[in-house]
Amino acid sequence: MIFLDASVLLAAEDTEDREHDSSLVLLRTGDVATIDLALYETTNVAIARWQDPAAAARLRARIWTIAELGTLIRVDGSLSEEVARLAVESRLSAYDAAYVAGARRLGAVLASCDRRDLVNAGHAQLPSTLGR
Amino acid sequence: MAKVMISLPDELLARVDAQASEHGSTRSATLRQLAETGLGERRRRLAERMIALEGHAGAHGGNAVGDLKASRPE
Repeated sequence: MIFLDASVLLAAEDTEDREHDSSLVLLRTGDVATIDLALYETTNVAIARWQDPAAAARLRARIWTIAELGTLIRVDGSLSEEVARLAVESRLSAYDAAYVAGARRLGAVLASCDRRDLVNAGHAQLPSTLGR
Repeated sequence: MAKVMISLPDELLARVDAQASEHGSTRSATLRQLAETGLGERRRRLAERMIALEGHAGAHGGNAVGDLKASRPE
């Protein structure tokens, strides 16, 4: 199972992103999970930055499909404690820490396009790496 | 391998046991196989729905990570 952060879902909707094709490959495996935070983050980018409501609708559909047929982690007390711990110990933003904590809960590999904060720090792998 | 305790309606358990008997298997192995089959089917359907959403993506600058971080409040 691959745990997706919001950047992978967004890259799947941006044909100019270098991880676009690889992100689609991960989604096509059907063996994916994410956290409810991804819904808010992807909607925010699609609406406020891209001004593309159709992309927002497709992102929403992808996340609800994961909720229905895959695994959607929802925040709870123990996860929020883990997020806070990771944010302090690994110097991650609470957003990034939420994806890391969600993946760890499932024992899954975290996929992210964020080289600087997640991939280079060893918290995640690029879609293009996982798809090899 | 983890051991778990689950609750099943009597009728469903009877069907599981009948299936196990038919295949010369155990209740545990039959439940494991049914779980694997069910999860595999969900995975296949999820993949199909993801593929159905393809083909409409646009050009948004190629910086999903930058867009994501810029939309997060400090």
